[in-house]
Amino acid sequence: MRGWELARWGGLFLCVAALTVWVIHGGHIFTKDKQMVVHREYDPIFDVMRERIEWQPALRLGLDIAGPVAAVGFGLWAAGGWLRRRKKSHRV
Amino acid sequence: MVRSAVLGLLLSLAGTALASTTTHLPLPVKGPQTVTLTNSVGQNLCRFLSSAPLEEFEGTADEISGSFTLNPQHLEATTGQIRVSVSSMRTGIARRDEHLRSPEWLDAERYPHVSFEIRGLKDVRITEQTAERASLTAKAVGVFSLHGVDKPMEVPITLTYVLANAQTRTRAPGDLVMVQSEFTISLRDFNIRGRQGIIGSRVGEVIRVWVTLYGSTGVQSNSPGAKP
Repeated sequence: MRGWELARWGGLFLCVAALTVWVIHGGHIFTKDKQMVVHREYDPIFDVMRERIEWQPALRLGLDIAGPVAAVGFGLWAAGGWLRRRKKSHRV
Repeated sequence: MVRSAVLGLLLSLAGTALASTTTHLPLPVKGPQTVTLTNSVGQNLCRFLSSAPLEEFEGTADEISGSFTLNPQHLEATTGQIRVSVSSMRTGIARRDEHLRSPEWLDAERYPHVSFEIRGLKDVRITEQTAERASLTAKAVGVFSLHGVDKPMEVPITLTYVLANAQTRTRAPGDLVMVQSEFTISLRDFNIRGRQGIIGSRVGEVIRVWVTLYGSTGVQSNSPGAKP
């Protein structure tokens, strides 16, 4: 039963961690593998701020991955809680 | 009777005069100048934004080639062609980029380029002029080709022309030109349907596009489709 207790709290941690990372990464629906980086600099020839854009490799976790991971974590936590209550009721 | 005929003649003359308006570039440039796009002047870039209820994403395309001929004595007579390679489009998700190029969307294999054929400028207004630089706003009139569909379009542009000097020569020979534009395109107009239910939910029905082009009059024209 101790293993279940560990899995239960591990599941809760997984759920919270996945959702936290998802929020920090911008709360997008789909996972991105590249991030657009915009470099702005003054262009004295044309007298404008010009932009240079490059795509850099960067994993931005989306809900398509974070959602199922959080759901599995929540499931573990819920199942662990149910087993705990069941065991308690058996003792009584 | 005579009065109405004279009025009609005057109106037609006024219409002709408006149609053949000639705007001069307020710089000492002689003869038509062919501006060839080159990244040595600045990054030729096309940015696009899709806004849909489920997702908003931005993308870029950076393989842009082409040239246009600008007549300093008659800016309205500007002609040329700009081509953007579909294979250079990036959206930040490799799988989505593959979908973008697939036959269901832009079909990069059959239609490898998005192009705009410039047939002239209208509503040209000089907005800024110094001894070495002039800026103007105008509407570029031409034919926009995407996904095998040609559509006449008027695209608002801002053009800045800089005479060659010691500073410009560090980037490219000849006079330098920058063109900026912002416009929208409707996917339906170009017969782009995608997978069922995607347009309108995950992909916007209308795509906003920003284009920045840099060119020089001293660079040789590339072969069509070549990366400058």
